[in-house]
Amino acid sequence: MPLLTRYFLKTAILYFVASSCLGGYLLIAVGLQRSVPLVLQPVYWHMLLVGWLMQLIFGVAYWMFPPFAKGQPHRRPALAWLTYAALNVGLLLRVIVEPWHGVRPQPGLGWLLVGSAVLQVAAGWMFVITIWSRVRGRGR
Amino acid sequence: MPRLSRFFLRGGFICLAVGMLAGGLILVQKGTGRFPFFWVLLPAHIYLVLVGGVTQCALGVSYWILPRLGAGQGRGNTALAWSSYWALNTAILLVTLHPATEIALGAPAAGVTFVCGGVLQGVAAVVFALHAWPRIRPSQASPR
Repeated sequence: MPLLTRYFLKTAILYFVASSCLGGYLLIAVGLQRSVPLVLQPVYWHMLLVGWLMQLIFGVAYWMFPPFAKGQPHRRPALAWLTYAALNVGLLLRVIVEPWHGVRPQPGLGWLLVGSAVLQVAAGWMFVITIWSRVRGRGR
Repeated sequence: MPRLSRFFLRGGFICLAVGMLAGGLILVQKGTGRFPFFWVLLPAHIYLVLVGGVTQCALGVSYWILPRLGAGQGRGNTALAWSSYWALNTAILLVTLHPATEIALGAPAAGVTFVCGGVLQGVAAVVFALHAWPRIRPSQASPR
């Protein structure tokens, strides 16, 4: 398993654990009829779907899809690593800033969410660019 | 990788890229408080990422790696799998066009796009299940 895939999968597992704990907390709070900050719900869903599921898909795709060329799995390895960095910095920024901004809105803080959005969208597009040429039939 | 898997995967990646862009715009709205109309993209964001992106990638990989049927039957009834692809992508297109339909033709017409999209999504799932079901079996080489 390539190093980049190991990074993706291990980070995905960390998000799986963290999001499951947060989801469990939200469920317990609802069950006990305690008030739950609504700002935690989008954070939970994005940790689960982007941090765990999407990251797992990215990591496995980089590993299992046909290599770009013999002995060269990626066309642009640096871009694939940049995808990992942008996705995780962007998501972490969101996880920290979104609840904070939701409870105490400040203009400067809000711009960090813009940065998070740019990083996550960039990660998605870089993934598509790096994987596109590897979605191909046999012998091409 | 078979042709249909390439269609599913490339379709899935396009949906993922567009869906993440829609989500990014919504997050920009949350951060800045400007552009409140970005929230109209929320159903398209959720649908494009979950159904268009994640589901299509899963279907594409399933079609590729599930065991083939023996005795020259290959991947079985491929027409069913292709029908699933077209039904799912028409559903995605209808749901994505929902905001534009609402602006251009009004809420009742936009409601029709959701109804048609929902029916097609269900049809896509059923026909893919019918295709994949016989392929979920032990490999011929592996022991039971």
